[in-house]
Amino acid sequence: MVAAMDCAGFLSGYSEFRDGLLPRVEAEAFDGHVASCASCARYDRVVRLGSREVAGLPPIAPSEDFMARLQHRLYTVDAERATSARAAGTSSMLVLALAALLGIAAWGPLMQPRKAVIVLPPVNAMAPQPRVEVPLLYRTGPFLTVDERDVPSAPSQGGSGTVFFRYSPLGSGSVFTTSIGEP
Amino acid sequence: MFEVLQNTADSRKEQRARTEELDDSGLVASFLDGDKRAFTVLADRYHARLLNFIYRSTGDRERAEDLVQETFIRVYRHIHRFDQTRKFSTWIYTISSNLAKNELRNRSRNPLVLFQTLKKNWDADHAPLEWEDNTYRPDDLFRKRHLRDLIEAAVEDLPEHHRVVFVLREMEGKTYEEIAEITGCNLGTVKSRLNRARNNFAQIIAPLLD
Repeated sequence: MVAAMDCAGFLSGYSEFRDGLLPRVEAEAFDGHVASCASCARYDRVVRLGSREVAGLPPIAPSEDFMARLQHRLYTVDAERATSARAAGTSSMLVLALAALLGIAAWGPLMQPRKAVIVLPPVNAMAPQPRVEVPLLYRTGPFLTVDERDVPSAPSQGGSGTVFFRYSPLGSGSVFTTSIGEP
Repeated sequence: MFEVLQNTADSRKEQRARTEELDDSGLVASFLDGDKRAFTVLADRYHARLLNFIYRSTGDRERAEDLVQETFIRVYRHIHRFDQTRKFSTWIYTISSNLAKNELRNRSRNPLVLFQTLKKNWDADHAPLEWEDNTYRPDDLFRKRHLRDLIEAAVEDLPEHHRVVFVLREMEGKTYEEIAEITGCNLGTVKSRLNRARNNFAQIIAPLLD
């Protein structure tokens, strides 16, 4: 059993009633109110007639060149897309090239081959004997030979400054040793 | 040679006919697969409806046509983002509705547009009467046309939020759920706005219909 409907209730729920969205019981309550209330019945009639008039308004037709203009604009959109895609491709190539250059500049020194440092084990060697220069004073002839390696170490009587010579005159074959440096 | 050309032309016609038979979602899918013709079919299908919707919402015919063009451009640009599980018609009406809303907002800031609207009405007032039906008497025709103008004026007089909902329901036959999606409102708001719009409309036209 649905409570009796008043005019305020009718007006507040009228749209759903008009569009047939109410359950059957509620719709019957609305129908009952329309039958009993002249003011709401008039309201219902005006809305129904008005809706019919609105639905019957002649549609306006698009201008004849509407589709042609639209096609032109769509063509422009396609052209813009193609241009921006090309520009994006070019700029991305530039960015890539710049990045590659920067990378080479930054990493280049590190990419060069390093010189190998060879560490050899230390070599133990004897220090060479000091060379003894023969004074020019004693180079009196072409046959004077001095073999420093043959110079014997200083005899017991020799001290520093003692030098031993082996004299070999031409053809004589005689060899004698004398010493200088000692008075 | 002629037969080959004839066969090619026939197969193109068949393909075109098949495209035109597709529903909206089929056309969207076809367009996304590279069939440019599918978009033209979509535009053919919707441009008159959108023009009427935007015209009833804004009251400016020329501007409405520009906005319909803009709607299709936006659809063209962003169709790859369209969720194909939803209704295409709801999506395209949402775009149109937003453009109409922006237009009304801009117009309220720019008084020049008001002059253009006045000028448009002046043109209509001075246009000769068209004799749609010879069985009607001139006074009937005049009365009919007068009533039509008054109804149109009554729709235009509705507040913007109410008008959009009213037009979508009464002229476009959208469901409450679709209107909620198009206008970005919840269902309760749609019911409330539609109820108020009908109430306002009834107040305006009641003297004409009695």
